[in-house]
Amino acid sequence: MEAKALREVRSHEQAALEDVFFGQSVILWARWSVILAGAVLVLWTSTTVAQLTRTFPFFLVLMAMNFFLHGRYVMGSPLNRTVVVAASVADLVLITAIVVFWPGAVGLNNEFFVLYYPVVFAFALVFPRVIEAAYTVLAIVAYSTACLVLSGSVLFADGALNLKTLMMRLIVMAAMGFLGNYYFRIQRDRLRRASKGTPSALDELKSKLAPAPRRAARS
Amino acid sequence: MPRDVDREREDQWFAWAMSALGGDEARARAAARAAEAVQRTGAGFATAATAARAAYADSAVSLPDRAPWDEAAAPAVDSKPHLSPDGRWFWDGFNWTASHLNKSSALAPAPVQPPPASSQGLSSWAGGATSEDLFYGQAVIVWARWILIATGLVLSFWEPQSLGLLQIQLAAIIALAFGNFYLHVQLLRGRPAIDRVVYAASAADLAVVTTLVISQNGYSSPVFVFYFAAVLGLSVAFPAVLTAMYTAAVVVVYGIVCVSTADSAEYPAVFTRLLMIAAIAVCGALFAQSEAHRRAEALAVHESASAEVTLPSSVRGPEPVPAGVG
Repeated sequence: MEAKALREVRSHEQAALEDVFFGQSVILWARWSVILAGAVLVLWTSTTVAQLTRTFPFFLVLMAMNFFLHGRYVMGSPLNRTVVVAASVADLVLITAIVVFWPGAVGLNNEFFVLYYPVVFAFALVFPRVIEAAYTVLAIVAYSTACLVLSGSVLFADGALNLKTLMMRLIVMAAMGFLGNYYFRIQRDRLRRASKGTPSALDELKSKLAPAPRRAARS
Repeated sequence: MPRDVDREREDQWFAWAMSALGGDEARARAAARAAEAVQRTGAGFATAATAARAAYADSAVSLPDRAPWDEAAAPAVDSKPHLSPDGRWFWDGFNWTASHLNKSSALAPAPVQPPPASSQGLSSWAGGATSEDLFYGQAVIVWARWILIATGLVLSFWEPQSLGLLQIQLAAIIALAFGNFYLHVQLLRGRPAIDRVVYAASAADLAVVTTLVISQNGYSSPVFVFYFAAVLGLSVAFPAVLTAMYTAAVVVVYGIVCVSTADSAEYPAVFTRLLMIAAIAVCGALFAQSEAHRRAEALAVHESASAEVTLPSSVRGPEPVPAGVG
């Protein structure tokens, strides 16, 4: 048998499935961080029993969902791509709900928009470019719509300083998606090289740059 | 001047041995002497390289300063037929022959091991090397910094609050831009910067963001979002220990800045910001670690598969020939 026939030990489809399986851990941990932040915030800032009992169940539901997903991951039973995407969209819905309904500070004044960042970043590390771009755009649209609807008049007042702040937040959100997926594609290339047994890009560079011994003269 | 020619050739072989056989100078020097001596007789590169490998291996066995606990291991090397370090060549006392032609069980190739993790941890501060993970992650850091620079530049001119603040912002952004241009050019030219330069540049990113945050009243400054892009870049590029150190530094410094400039009612928001910065770092480091394991496994699978296929039938060229030799 030719050595070439065995060079590719991982098919494209298998690699895509593995991406979702291995990348899930990043999404799970990002969601745990959101749950932790949300739960602490609710417990910390609630001023009445009614407020606490109204808001905490959202995090309990998210926690239950993540326990299920994390349990499946630990047991080694792969979740399909649709479930992972649906759970990630649910994250966006919950975070947008926090931005929209948080008592006292909504829209642009709500400081919990930072919860979007790890979620978008983790998603970008798992899915290919098109799906990642769609997810990032969805997050940007959800947040900017919430800000425009709830803080529209504030955005353009005072020399549009608040619009500048909103732009900054959205640009960083887009950067989370872009940079995460850029790194994801770099890693795919490295894995492909490793699977084929070809040297890494760094090795190739080093071999090109290394000073080669000159032709030895024979006495 | 035959002696000068010999010395030059020996130096070339020394450089070759250091790169091809390992980083032990004494052993590489012994290998270089042997190769040079063989080549002086008119032999070609293959023979000289074989001699170099043998001398390199021999000098490992006969090192005079062997530690007491290594004494027991030494005879084991001599007790079996002499195999070259790469396992391809067998010394029968008179000639080197391809090892696959000899079916002795003592010459069975060692099982393929996954490559060691390229992450160097804290030691990468001390060396002048470029580690592989940092090489790949450096591209992410460079792009993250360009985003920071472009956004900062545009937003600086958008309703600047005061001349002094604008001066600080522009000076910091221009300094970052020059530094990033240098790093990007190095990448484009295929000359990745050494680790310490990349570490220092990332520390400069964090320092610039902190300076801007402090100059805009701490907690109320919207510029803090750039911490996320900076931490993202370093989390996928740096070893886990350094990522933890950098992130801890950001959390502590920014936490102090916020606590000293925010009302107690705003502490939950401060907590959320700090937790999310840490979450970005954890996600990046987890992913990088997971990918390193996948790569090592893929490489091991490939090497074991190709070894099974090629060893029994291959009659390859004797040795990889460095460019220009022989």
